[in-house]
Amino acid sequence: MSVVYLPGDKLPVSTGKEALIVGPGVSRADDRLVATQAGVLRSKQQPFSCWMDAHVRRYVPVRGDKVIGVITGKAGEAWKVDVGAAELATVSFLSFEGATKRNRPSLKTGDLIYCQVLLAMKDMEPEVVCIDSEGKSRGLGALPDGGLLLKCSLNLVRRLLSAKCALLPTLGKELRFEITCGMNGRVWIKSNSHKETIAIAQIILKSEFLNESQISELIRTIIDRCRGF
Amino acid sequence: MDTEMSSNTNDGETSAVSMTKLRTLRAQLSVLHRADGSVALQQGGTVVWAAVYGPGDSTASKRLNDRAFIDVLFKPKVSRPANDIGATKENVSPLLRGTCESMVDIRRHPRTLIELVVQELTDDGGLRAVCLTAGCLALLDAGIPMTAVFCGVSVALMPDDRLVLDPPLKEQKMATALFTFALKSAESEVEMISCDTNGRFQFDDFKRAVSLAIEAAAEVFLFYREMMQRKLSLG
Repeated sequence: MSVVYLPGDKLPVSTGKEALIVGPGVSRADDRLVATQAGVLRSKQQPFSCWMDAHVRRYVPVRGDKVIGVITGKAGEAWKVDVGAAELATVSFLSFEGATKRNRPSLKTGDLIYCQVLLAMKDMEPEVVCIDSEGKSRGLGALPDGGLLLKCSLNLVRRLLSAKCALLPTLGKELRFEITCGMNGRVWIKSNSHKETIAIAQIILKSEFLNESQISELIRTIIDRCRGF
Repeated sequence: MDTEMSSNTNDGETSAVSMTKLRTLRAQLSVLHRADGSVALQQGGTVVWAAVYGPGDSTASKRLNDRAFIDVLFKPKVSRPANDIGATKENVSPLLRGTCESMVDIRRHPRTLIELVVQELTDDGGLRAVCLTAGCLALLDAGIPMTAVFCGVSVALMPDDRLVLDPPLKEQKMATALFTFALKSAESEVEMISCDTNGRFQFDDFKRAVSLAIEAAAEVFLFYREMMQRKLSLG
């Protein structure tokens, strides 16, 4: 059973001469590492990095995260996007593939975009973009109409995206659907019918505290119910 | 489970200290699905709900340029006068806000609002201390970055110089003085960080009450560990 640390606890990580990357939930006080969130300590080698795996629902923007945002309005040459953080993020009109001053992307208030966080500092408002450094979208951009947006904890999304979780592949064998997972705790699902979309949403939300074997049972139960058995 | 001890103070006066255990603590985390963190806490007969929202957006009046604004809202079930020995908005909110501001890493999230709402459900004594404990559990549940954990412990000084730890309402009403301590724990060291007192007491009584509270706080922090272990060991 993994040890759970509380804020203020000294962590059993040696701060020697080797490079050490201190991640979220851990802070450095002189020569010791101290937990700042309640969670399980995780670490990775080469270079050695450690962070707290805490259960959090509120998103704090981090550069490089791919998130789902909702357009809330215009502000000069940019749109204001709600990514679930304390402040609204901005996305410039030119941060889309093929956009020029004359050729603007056609987005309106309420549209969903899958974007990447470009700038996230505690003293500035976050900025997101829908292209990479080469100008290609690579899956980013406006999401199609007609899907369902779910709000869940950040941990659930990280689990869905991890290679060890078999939920999405198992579900993919039974149903046909499109899914986008934003690291800000938002999941967008689109399927052939409303009934199937809702079934997928229920499976994802209920799987949060189950282990792998219980998840396949959950999938079986909900899909049978969806198909009328 | 009472153990009574008699001790002689320096001037030869005998005073009895009743080392009562803290009442049973029971809590349920994440009870409110819309809140970022929440807890339903029961200590003996006193029941309190606490919810944390944040770090989120705030209005201009609640925005600080260099740190987070912590807003504490205490909702009593019964309205009591401002200087009442029980829990009122006037005595719970400042105590809880002051404690949170020193424990939460407010420099990490400037210009945001962290809102803590504490709702009284049943008052069976020691309500102010239970509000402090519930506040910390809700902050832990929300994953708000903190430098240490804190809890509340109440001690009553009875007319016969006896100290009662975590008194139920009946005893609290007969007390000469009521102490509500906020204690923090960082790297297993427990320290008192603030206190709210009502009534008359000698400084010796105060010192005894502080050491009693520090011992009892260790139990509360153990309870926090058990709660978070249970929550985070699933999945």
